[in-house]
Amino acid sequence: MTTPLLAVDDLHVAFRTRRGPARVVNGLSFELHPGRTLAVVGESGSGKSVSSLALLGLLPGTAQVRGSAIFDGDELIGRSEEELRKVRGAGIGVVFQDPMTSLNPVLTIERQIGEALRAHEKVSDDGIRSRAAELLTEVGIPDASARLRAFPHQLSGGMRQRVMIAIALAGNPKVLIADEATTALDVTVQAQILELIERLQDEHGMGVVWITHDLGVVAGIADHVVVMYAGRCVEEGAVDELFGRPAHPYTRGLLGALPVVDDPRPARERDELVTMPGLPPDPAALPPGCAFHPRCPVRADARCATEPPPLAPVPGSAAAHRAATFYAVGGVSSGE
Amino acid sequence: MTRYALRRLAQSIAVLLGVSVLAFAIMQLVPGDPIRAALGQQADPATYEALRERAGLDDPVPVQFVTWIGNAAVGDFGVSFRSGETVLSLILERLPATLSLAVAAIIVALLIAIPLGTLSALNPRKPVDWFASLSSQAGLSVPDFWLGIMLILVFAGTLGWLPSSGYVPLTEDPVEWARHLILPAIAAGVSSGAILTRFVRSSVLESLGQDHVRTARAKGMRARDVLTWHVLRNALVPLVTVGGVQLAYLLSGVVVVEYVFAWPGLGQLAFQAVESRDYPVLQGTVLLFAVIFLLVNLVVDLAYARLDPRITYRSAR
Repeated sequence: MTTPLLAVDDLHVAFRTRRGPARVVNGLSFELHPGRTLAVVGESGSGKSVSSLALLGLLPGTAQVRGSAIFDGDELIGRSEEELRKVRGAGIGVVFQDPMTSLNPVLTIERQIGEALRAHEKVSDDGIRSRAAELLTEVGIPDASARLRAFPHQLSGGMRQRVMIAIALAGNPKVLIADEATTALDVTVQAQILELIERLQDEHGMGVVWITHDLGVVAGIADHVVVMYAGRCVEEGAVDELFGRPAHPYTRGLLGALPVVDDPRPARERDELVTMPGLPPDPAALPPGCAFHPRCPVRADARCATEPPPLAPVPGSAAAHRAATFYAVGGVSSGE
Repeated sequence: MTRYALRRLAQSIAVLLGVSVLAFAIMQLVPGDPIRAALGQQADPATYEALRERAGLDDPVPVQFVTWIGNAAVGDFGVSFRSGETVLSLILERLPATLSLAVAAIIVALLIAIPLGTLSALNPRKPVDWFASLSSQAGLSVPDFWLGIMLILVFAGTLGWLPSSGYVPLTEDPVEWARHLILPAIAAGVSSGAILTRFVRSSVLESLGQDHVRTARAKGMRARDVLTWHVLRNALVPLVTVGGVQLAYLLSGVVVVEYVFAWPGLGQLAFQAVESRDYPVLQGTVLLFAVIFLLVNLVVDLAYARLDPRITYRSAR
């Protein structure tokens, strides 16, 4: 296997709160290879966005980050603000969730793309204009030079997200983090944005990290999937493997909660949508043992409530398919 | 935009008419005879008659009002009972002093408020923030006349760096103009500065938490550029409103500060007019203050559209 572009190892993020530390990310590890797409999946509050912000040093001062993240051969965690600044945009670009609030309402599109260009190299005003217009064309915005003078509120949601992507591309990053990049968009626009990012990935050879709670998106684009729960990876594997043979009860729950749109059976014979009872745990008061055990429908092992299950290969699957559970498909305990 | 400006202008004229009725009423509401009240009982009958005649007090009230407002519309506010000069010339004479003081005071206020408010927003619940909140509390509670006197005692008295009072026109001697301006500008600007500091703090704090600030950082922009273009630039929009109100307040004469520094401004003119029952002058200044407030508000609203492109002005439906 090639050396990974981004290798996150045992990442921990905690926030100081009045009630003590809120442990939002608890030992997350993953690898991203050039040209590949890694999906990080989880419910809101599972720590997926926080981990990506932590890599770039974009968390508020109350955050304490531990662990390691090697990007392109260099450690990111613990680096100075100025060193991280050089990585932001130029090494790792980010597309955020809500393109309305993620763009500055009072600055023109040209200005906002221009800032991303200027952040890493000296460019003349004319250079900025032509480069910004190129970027807009590249992300599929027609009549780019007219759009440059527009303000965000004059564009549609899909257009704004394209602008966000143009901004993320401006520094020619090797890694693109799409943090719920399609969540705020309606379904047809979502599909267009997914396609656009896939095309750009092919053209630029970027590694893409998709952070999402939408398993439909994951199935369509990801090579490798990391399922997060309470700040830990509970299961990871190649997308076919993970969707085909989910090993962790949480993953199985997530997949069970997916509606099957083209189910051929008549309505009354279809399986009911499965919902998972309960809520993700409070990061300031994580349960002992496996963080998922209070909600787990299986809880097959006495250790569930006392020791966190290690991430171990799923028996009978490819080596890259691992799950953190004492219970596994077929009743084989994988924690041994 | 032009239509909006015109509509606002029409509204302003309506408000002015209202204010002018009130200003006109001053003359009517004075118990007894305003001329007698102004001149006192022992006045020379000839002077009395002349003034009465000139003020048109023998005409019916509606006629008086129409005449007065018609004259006021072309800048004729009548003649001072006291000095015999026209009210307009008295006002124009005082205007440069007031403009200098108000503009200097708002600059002092902004020089205090923007750095202090921003620093405290960037370091919430840290010593800088406590210091800012304490000093803005102090700035609000200290009376401006006391501050003025203290400034005079220290900087004009003990240290002898600056003149203690008086006004020198800019056209006469720019250096002396500035030297005379410093202390009254501080005395008048500190309380506005205190109000604006709190405002800047909350506005910057709100701006800091915006998603687009995170985007700007994620682009790899330098912290200083993020602060200037994404935090302060956006926080500035609401500041314009509050700053505008403060400016209008300062323009309509900071009576006490002008008094302490013997500053020949509009506030002093209005104050003297009240003292000496010089009703035409009082009417003129009241009307002028109304005009100032309306104009500043109009400018603020138009500036808004410049600063925030989401705001567009259309004629009302």
